[in-house]
Amino acid sequence: MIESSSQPGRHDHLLSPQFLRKLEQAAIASKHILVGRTKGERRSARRGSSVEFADFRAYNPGDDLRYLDWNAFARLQRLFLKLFIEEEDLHVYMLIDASRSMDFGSPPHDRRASPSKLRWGQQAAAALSYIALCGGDRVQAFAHSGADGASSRLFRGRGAAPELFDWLAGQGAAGETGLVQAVRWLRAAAPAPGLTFLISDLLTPEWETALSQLAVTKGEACVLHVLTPDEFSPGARGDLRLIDSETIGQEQAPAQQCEVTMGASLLRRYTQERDRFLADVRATCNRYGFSYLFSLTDQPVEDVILKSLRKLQVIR
Amino acid sequence: MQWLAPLALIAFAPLAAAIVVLYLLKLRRRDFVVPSVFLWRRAVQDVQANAPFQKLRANLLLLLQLLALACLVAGLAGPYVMARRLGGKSSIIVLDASGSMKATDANGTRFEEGKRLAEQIVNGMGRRDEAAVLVCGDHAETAVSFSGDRGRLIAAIREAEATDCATDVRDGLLLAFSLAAKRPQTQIYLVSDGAFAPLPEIASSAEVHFLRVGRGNNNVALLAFEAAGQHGKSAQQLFVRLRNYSAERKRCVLSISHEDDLVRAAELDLAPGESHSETYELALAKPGLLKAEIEVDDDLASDNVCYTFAQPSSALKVLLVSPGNLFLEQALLVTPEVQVFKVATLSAREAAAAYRDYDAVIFDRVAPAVAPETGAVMLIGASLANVAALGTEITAPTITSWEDRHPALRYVNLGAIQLAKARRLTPGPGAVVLARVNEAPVIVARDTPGLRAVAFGWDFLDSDLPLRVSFPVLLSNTIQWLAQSAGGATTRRARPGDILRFGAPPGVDSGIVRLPSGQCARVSAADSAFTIANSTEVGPYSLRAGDRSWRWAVDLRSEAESNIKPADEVKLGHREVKAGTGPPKVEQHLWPMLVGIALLVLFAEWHVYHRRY
Repeated sequence: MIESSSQPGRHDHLLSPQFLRKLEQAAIASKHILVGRTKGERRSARRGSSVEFADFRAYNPGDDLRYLDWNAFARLQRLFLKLFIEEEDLHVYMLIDASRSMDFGSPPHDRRASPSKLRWGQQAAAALSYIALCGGDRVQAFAHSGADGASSRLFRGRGAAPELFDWLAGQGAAGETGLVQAVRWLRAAAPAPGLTFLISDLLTPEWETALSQLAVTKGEACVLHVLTPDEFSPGARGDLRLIDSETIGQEQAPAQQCEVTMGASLLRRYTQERDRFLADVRATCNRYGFSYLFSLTDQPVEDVILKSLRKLQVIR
Repeated sequence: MQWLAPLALIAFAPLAAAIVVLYLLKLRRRDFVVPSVFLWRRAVQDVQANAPFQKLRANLLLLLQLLALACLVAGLAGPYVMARRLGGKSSIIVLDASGSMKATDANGTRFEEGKRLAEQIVNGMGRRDEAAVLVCGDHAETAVSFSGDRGRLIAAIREAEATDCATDVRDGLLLAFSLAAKRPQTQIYLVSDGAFAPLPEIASSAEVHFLRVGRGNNNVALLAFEAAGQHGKSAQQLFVRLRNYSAERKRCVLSISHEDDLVRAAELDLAPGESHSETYELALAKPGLLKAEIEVDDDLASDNVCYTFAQPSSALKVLLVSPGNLFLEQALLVTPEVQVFKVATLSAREAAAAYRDYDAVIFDRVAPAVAPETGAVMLIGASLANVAALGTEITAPTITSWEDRHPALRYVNLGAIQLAKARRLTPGPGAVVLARVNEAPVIVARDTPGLRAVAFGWDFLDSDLPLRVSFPVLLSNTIQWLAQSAGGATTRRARPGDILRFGAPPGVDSGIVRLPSGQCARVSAADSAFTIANSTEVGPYSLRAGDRSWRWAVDLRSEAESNIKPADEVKLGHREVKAGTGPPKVEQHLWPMLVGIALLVLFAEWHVYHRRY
């Protein structure tokens, strides 16, 4: 159980203690054997010093004599060295979209009250990070928006969870969505191939490019696609001038706008575009071999992590 | 279309301009911050791809609003049209179904055109209007009493049929006036060609509209066809008169046939308006039906045929019972085919024998000792209980009306007779009035099975009748008619609509009537007589009952009906009603329709607006 630090941290409200206890029972499931940096609890492609026998090879002068197979020598009169599977750790990367569009949720008075997408993403990232830390994996978080980004140190071990949670909770939303740049930054900054969790609303024309960039990045990826209930089913009506939240206050260009008259006809068309967008994203992720999960922010993170991701075999 | 308040139309311009300005003004939109317009733009792009249609839809709303405004403004201006509608709440349609209405100078016959006009009148009824339909053929008949059921009225109009009868519009109008008296502001529509005599005695406060049908006077008619046997000879003398009423020369072929055998034919050339007579002498082996027919291109066919019966030539035995009347005796002597016997008095026993033995018995100022049960009697200034009784004296009498269609009074002008004095007659049972002095009967006739009688209410010597040309004609007609007693005569001539009575043989109570069309109908006897009241079609008829048979022929022979020129006006009482070609036009306001259209347009605009959003 994570004990709160002396100073009440911003992570105190990210995940509940009960949820954390459930997360301790889970583990990140990696589809492939990835090369780690340090000794961990995952099978590695390399040969190491675990107790699990992997293979033989001929003895070369200088090899450790403790690994000679005397039974083979007795039979074959030749010296063979036993090889064992190396157990290494997994690098888990949390790439969170911290653009201004993620800072939208339902207003408190709304009966469909739900956290903002950023908050939801922070909670999901915290939960996945905790699972990875409990499993001996390394976790590094990235938050990106526009041309700016922030990255945490590489965390390892359960004891690092509070600091990681603080870091996640401390990220605010600002700027436009810059997913392509974020992925490139991740590729450059990541110390080793690993499993990347991309948490974003993907509401950008370059979403497909970003995913293609993610596909060429070594490692696996899981896309958590999140929208608010109001984005899924808009409730506004009337003659509106929709203003893009990410472009407000720009000095170089006015905010992007879209004049609409909310009515049944337009809502029908919006629903069709939304469904088409979600289907395109799912198809692209499938094509690239990513795990894909779509969720609304009114769905509890606990259910998403423990049930939905378990169904996708991202968590076990 | 006309307008009650045309200035209201001016309001359309500023109001329409205001609507257009509102459309031109930029629509105020509420700013609404969304996370991203990414999906919204994709959704709106689809709309913008159909931008021309969207513009059209926006323009459609504008157009609908302008259209609704136009309808409302137009309604305020009070438009109306003059439409042919019934003017009053109650209307009476009097449909002339006389013989002249069969003329074919309309779209079909005049009667068919009249029925179409009547249907137009019914279709112009308002929701709460009522109408009645009267059909005037041989008599006036109420086809439909006041009803608001258009279907029923139109059905009655379509069922009506024209007859060959003379026009009886007088009775129809009197009936219409009596119906109108119970309903104020009733309009009367007389649908006719106006081919009838003025009706000065008809007066009413009801508004009468004369809707004329028919156009021309293209008609050649047979007006007279008589056959007379010559005493002592088998030959028959035939007299034919015809007249060209049209305004152009007419060629026609006159053919005379005896029992369907053509016996004479002649081609005639008639000048416009010419009246032409022809006489023929025919040697006929036997009596029978004679038919005169003209083949001519005219608009009325029913007056192109006439019938008469060739009778065997034999003198009539007439007994004159008179104290002395030189004029009467001389007139009887010169009456053809009449053999006169004269006595001064007649006892009861002698009278009974005379009734049986003579073709006619004339009582001149002598009261019969006994009333006849059968026979033929003429009474001049005498009473007979079962014919007519002499009443009070009439001072300064002048005969004002008479039945010129009665066989006894044909070709006799009684109005010119100067009477010194006369006495009112009280008709006996079964007797009918043939002439009146104002309202007082002065000539009465009785025609019952076995008995015919004519009574005159004045002494001929108390008038200048014996000095007139009409006198021998009157005597000849009366004697001829008397001689053809109802029980005995087997042939007869009649006009359409005449009521005929034939004495039924003892023990026979039904007979078969054969119509001109060849159809047969059964008739039943009542009071020992067959009453035929539906001889409205021109042609020969026959009745067979038991071992007796009768024949009669119906033809038009009417100057009034054959002169088919439509009248420009009709005189009713003191009024002259001008002819019209349709129901009078009344204002029909259009604003309710415009308001309804405006509501529909507004509903459509609401629907388009909501479908858009």
